Amino acid sequence: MSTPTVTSPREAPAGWWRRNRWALVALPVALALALVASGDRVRTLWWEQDLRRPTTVAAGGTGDFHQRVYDGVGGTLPIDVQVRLDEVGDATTLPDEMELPDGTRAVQVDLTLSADPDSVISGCVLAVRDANGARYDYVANAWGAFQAVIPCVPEDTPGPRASLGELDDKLSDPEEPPRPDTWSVSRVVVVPEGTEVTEVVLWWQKPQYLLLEVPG
Amino acid sequence: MSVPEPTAPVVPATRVRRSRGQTVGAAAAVLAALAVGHVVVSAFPVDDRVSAPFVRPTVVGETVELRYARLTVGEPTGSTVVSPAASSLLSTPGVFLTVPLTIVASGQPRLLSFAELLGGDGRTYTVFTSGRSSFLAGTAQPGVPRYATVSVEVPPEALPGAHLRIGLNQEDQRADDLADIDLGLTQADADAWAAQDTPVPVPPRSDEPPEQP
Amino acid sequence: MSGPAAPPDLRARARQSGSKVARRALDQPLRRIGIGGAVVLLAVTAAFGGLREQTQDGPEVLVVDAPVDVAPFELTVHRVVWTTELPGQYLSEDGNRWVGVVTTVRNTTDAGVLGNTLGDALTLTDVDGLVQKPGTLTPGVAASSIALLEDGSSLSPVQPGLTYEAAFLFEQDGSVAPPTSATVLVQRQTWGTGILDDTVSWREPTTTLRGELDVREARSDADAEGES
Repeated sequence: MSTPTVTSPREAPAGWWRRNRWALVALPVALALALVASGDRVRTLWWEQDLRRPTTVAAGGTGDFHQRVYDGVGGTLPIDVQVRLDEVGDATTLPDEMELPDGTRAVQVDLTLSADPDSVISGCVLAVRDANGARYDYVANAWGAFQAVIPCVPEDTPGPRASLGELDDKLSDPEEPPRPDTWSVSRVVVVPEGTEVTEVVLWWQKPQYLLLEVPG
Repeated sequence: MSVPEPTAPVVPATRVRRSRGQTVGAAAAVLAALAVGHVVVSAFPVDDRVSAPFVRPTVVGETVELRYARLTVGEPTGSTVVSPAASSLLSTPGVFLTVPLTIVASGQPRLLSFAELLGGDGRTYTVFTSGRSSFLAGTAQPGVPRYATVSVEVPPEALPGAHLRIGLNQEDQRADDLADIDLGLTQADADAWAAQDTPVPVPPRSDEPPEQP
Repeated sequence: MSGPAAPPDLRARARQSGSKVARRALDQPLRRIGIGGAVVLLAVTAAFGGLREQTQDGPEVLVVDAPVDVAPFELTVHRVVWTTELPGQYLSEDGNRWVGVVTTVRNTTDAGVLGNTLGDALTLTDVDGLVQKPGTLTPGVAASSIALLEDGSSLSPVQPGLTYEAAFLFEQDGSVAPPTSATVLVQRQTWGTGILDDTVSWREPTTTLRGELDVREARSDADAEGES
């Protein structure tokens, strides 16, 4: 402690509150910042691991979806697609060999999409949601059926795939025709009986996703 | 530390001695604090309690509600030989315990991948996704029941009083729901199965309910 | 600075007090006091977890048919044999052969461990032409698979409370002559966390036994039979 100085009899020593007023003002701000900084993992490890940032498309409308996704080898890929939900309803015909377990029904989702034929959009995941927010994923190889592995591109002309470096030459088929500018897909999702599908969701990399509202 | 003034004939020895004593005392206090801190931290299992799973107990035949699914456990059975779906017959010096499960995922598709048997002998028997003790339920669609079987290789003395634990994340069960099922097994069950060598099937996971015998 | 470390007045007082110990202690050069102080400080860290048990040095000789305690297992090595055919096991190239170390394995802890921990417990060396390369953490060459003699399956997980008869299998290039001897290395492991990662597991395999054993051709009914 410093040695006490002689104070003039006219000035009283400043009180504790007065001496520390700026620190006290800064204290709640500092506390809030500390909480936010130490809670950053809640955002990255939990909040961003689910579907959180929708691009919502009203029933009957066409949605414009843009995202830059990580390509798995250190770079990014642009996703630019326009999507329209044509119809959602009971599947009139089941995919080949599909056997529905008791207590389930097959929902057919019809989408029309457009994208640049040279762009890579093959990393998509399709699902439907009900009024409670429960999500039912599209599974290509399940319940006996073998549907298209990638739900958002045509089966015969999926277009370019994400680069795997040296394997690209071996994996690509030079004779495969390019993906069209606009195409439609029809996929079957198995949900429990009594589920009312209110939304169709499509995503490439969480937390961003495309939310297509189902009419009615 | 004081700077000895060149003009003063005698260095004030008392001041030097006091501050040296203070330094030694401070150092001793720091070391004592470290020692006490070590004792406190190691004596109380704070880390374990803060990150412990939320254990939901249940018994065979009763449905337990977990955060991510509803789980029902069927009648366990066992033998010294099992016939798994994907490999040839397995035989054991102990007993194979097989337990059928019904999993109904909730909220979104769930992949239950953790299983473990707490034996009545106090030991923990590990279950992996493949191998001699396995549990492979796959991703279950919400609302659509998934039927899967857990198969564990144990010594017969582990069976009476054994508890089966089922969870979501195979590597990390901290701070999440964990089902703890009392299998209700007795020494008689252990003796009967240890004497059995008829192969018990371990059916692959499926959304079709198993055929009732 | 190699002169005495203590200030002159202190040393004068020590000389005056007549205590030999005090005079000797304060006459020490700074370097020695520094070293002495460091040793005392390190010893004091024992109070808050600074000391760790040191392992013995040098592996002992591995004796056939004698059980050895190598945490988390108790292993008994019976024999080393080679064979060209093993039902249920597939060689990477025709003409290669299997060198098998036949053992009895027991998990002596209270929890099951996975097969890769068992793979670190017993390795082979001094055999030419082994297909697998020596590992980085574990000395010697690790087995490509560990097969249970009873049914030919891969021994994983290794549950406590059970005694398994298993063969550690090493693939050898067919162009090399079959081995007549091999050195078996048996490692003990420690349960703990790594320096870089927080997860608790069996790690740091340390060779505690080594034995040079004869290798002979397997008799047809002796070894790993798979149930077809």
